[in-house]
Amino acid sequence: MIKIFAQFSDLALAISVSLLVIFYSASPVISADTAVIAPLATQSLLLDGQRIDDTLVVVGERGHILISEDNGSSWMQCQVPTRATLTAVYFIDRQNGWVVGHDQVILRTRDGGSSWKLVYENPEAQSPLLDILFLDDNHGYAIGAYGQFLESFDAGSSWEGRWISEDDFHLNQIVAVGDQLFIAAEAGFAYRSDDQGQNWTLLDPDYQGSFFAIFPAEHNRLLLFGLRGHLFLSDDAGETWSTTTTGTEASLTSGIRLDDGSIVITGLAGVILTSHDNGSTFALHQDPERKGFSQLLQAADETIIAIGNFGVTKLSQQIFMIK
Amino acid sequence: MKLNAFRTGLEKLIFNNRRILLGFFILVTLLMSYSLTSLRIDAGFNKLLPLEHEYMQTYVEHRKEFGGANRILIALMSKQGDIFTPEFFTTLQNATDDVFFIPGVDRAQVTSLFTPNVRFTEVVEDGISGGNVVPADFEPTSEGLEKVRKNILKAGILGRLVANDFSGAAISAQLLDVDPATGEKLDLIKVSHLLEERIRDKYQSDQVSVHIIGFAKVIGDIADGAQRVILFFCIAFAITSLLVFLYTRSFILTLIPIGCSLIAVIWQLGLLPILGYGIDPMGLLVPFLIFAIGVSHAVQMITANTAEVRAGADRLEAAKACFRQLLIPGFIALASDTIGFITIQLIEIQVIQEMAITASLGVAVIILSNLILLPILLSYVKTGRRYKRRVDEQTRTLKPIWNFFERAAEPKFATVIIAIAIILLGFGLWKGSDIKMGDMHRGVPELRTDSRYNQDSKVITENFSIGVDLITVIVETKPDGCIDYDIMTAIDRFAWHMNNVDGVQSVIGLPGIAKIINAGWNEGSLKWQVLPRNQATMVQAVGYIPTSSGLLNSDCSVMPVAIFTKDHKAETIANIVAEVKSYREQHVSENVTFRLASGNVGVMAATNEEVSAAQFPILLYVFGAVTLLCFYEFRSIRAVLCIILPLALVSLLAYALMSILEIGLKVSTLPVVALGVGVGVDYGIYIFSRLRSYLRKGQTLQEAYLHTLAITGNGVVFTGVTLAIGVATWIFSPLKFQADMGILLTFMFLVNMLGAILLLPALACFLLPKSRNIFSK
Repeated sequence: MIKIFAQFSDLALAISVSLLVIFYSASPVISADTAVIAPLATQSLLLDGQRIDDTLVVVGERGHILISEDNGSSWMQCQVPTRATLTAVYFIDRQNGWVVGHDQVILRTRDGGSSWKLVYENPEAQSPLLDILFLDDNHGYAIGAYGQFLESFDAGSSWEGRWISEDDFHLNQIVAVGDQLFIAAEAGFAYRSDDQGQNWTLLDPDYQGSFFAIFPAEHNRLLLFGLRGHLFLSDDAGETWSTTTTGTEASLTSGIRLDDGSIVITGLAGVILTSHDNGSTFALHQDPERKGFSQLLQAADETIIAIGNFGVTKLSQQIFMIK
Repeated sequence: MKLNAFRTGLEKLIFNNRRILLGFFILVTLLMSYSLTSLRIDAGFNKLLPLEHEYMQTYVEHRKEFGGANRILIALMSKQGDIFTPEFFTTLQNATDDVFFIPGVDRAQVTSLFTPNVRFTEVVEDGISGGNVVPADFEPTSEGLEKVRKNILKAGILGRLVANDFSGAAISAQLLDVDPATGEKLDLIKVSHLLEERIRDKYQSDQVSVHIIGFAKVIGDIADGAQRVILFFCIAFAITSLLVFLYTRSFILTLIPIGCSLIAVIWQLGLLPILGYGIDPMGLLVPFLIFAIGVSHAVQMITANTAEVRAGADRLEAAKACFRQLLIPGFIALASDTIGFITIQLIEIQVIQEMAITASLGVAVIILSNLILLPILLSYVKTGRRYKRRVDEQTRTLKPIWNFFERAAEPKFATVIIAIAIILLGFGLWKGSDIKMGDMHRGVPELRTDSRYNQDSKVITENFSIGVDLITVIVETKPDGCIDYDIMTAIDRFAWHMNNVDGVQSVIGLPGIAKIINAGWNEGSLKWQVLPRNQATMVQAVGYIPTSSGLLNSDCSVMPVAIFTKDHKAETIANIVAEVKSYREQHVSENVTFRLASGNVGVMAATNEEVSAAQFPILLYVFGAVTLLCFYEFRSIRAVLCIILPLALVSLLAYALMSILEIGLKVSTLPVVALGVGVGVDYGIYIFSRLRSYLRKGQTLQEAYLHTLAITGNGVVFTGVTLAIGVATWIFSPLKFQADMGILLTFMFLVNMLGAILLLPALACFLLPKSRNIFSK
């Protein structure tokens, strides 16, 4: 079924591409839908988060953006002009941040999250944006399903779309490592750009499943991971890859470096992988409730906070002590 | 004067044809006894529903498609360790097979680890793979069990078919309305007994405990408890008879009032099959109430008769005299009772309406049995000197007591009594206004919190992620509504809104499941856990959800949203219902209609509203009728006040008592409150009627009241105490609603009695004019 569906969307996309030529820009449509302030927002599906100094920001379904100023003890829900499911957040500093999500919404704040403006949306595309990254105050990228790649040079006020490859794989995550950019993508692929996103090189570890995230470890090491617990290492900027065992078949969703230098990778079905040797080996902890983890955050006071399909919760430090 | 002529005529007619009438009573009693043999216990589910209520019409309309309410769940819990032992799996497999063969079980819908409809799916590189949780080649080896453990997690049935900590597993089954083998309506009580016999008794062991919940089990347990109710009835009957014997000190004078009251019960029960009714477990109190009211009136008759005999009348004259004295007040009192019973018809719930009809018939029968048959029987009773001596002795013993109570009619004490009454009034108003609708405790309200059913329910809710308190909002859309993004979004937003409402534990609806499936189609990624805008994708997301899930109907136009509540307290329910109503007012859409309600809490919501709406009209009509009848009899507003004010105070205090004891106003307790007025008015009317007769003779209020106490007061105190002791035994009933009724009736019998002998004379002391000529002809 998935195959059939994928073919169908290929066709749809081929048609839309031929209509839109290679460059397009869409004018922002401002919808009247605003997120409902809900007591249980902290228990809703949350998909991405970021710590900026003492502030924690998490985003998720129904246009939920939550901010904590007390290391995750309490959360304030922001007024947000959309109810689309939000998939990723990126703040370049305390004041300036962007959020992307389904219906290809892009939201921007210039006051540290107090107010959000819908700067871009395209519900008709019927595909989500999945990650956002800004290199400086003005230059940023938003990536998404079916090879969606948007770029802005004016702090997100306007966006231009283009294709970075002939394939239309889902572009799941984008990170900057030094001068290079990396994208974790579907079907066992990743991309690297050495020129700030102008040109992209296809990276091809020996795997056919999706990669959901790419994480820069110490000493120029890259960790690339995704479906069914597959995790690959590269010490040469993605030219060659080796695999490492994780002991789980659950999908891996994101990585974080804790203050003590250990690397923690989260996954679905309650999976938490901890590495104390820069990603060479991992110890597996499985949450008894089998929560679906989207991501971990470490607050300024070292509290470790998990977000996922359960909402947001604090985790015991002991989980990460196992070797 | 016409009334007097009528009474005299009736007296002649009755006493000149004693034998014919006796023959008539014997014949009818025999016929009714015969009819009684075809009386059946009739515990229908529909009878308990306020079918006219808006919510229940929704329920009835969609019942066929979303039956759902008649599900049973059997949990097998491992007493040591977890379920992953060969023994446990064998037990579970055998139990599943046995459930399959219980008559009335919908075999296609039996679900457990061992049924083929329980499958797991997992995301793999090239799509989704799946299989049965317990594979066809399953061997109970450690590898085989480990594989099942993994499959359970992949299937997402942890918390539903397997306990959250793997300490138990469940079998779920749906019951049909009709037994396919016989073509007859499914006998739920039988199903309940079969579950005990073939499942619990068979599989309960040192290793495994069995817990069963579901509507059929509730009905079965109530029916089993109802058999104990008959035992309680017998105990109350025995206590009453014994006390009547101690009171009359005569075997024959015990037999007559008890016998006449029993005849009223036999007639009342005999009338049920003739009218086409069975006896409902909820209506079991009615025969006892009829008996109690009968005894109350009979004792008045006996007391009056004895007084005449002591005054020197012969047996026929004595019988005629007490007939003359008590016909009118007795009739007025019984008419008030009848009206009290009829008014509870205002509650449009079949079981209550049946109760109203059968109980009012029963009270009407008392008019015949105790106002006509009883004096006839008395006219044949020859009382010897020994009886007179015993009665004299009793009168002497009681004299100081009556002298004490007589002071209630003296201004000094009357002031104290009225002051206390005013304090009680204030207390009643304060606490009584706190009374809650519906149920306040965990578990099934008809059964006690510590009953096996409610304990099973507790074990299951603690170990599984299953709620037992459910209100379902039926969302009606257009055909194929489930693949329309806007409609699905509207339902999803409603579900989320309700999830955030206080008192809601969790909400399950089609959109929520569709989102998870959509994520499944997208490699399980949480970022794709959304409703797809693309219709083809939406078809994929909902296409795998069967109608048996109860989340959609066959043409996908109706999608129930199941709201599990934290409890079923009335305020919780009212709050949730109010939220649904305000939400749908604010989100009016042409294609989406949110309709209340189904599920057990939906039924409670409708019942609470029905009871709440009926409670004031019922009290208004009861008091209105009693007031009019008393006024007709006594022709004095002051007299009416003397009788009604104590009654009103007692009713208010009954509310306060319910509020303190956390007994809610519900189907089983509202009738008691209404009927309590009927019981109380008997006391008031009898006392006031005799008081008036002495006042007419020119006695002072205090003299008149002392004489009244010696005769009528004697009977009133006796019946009040006797009946209270009788019903107090109900407090030990296994059925919670009967225990609640027992508490309330005990209170009603006792406090109404106190109101009649203390507050009534105190009020009379101030309200009645001091002239000796009041009520003079």
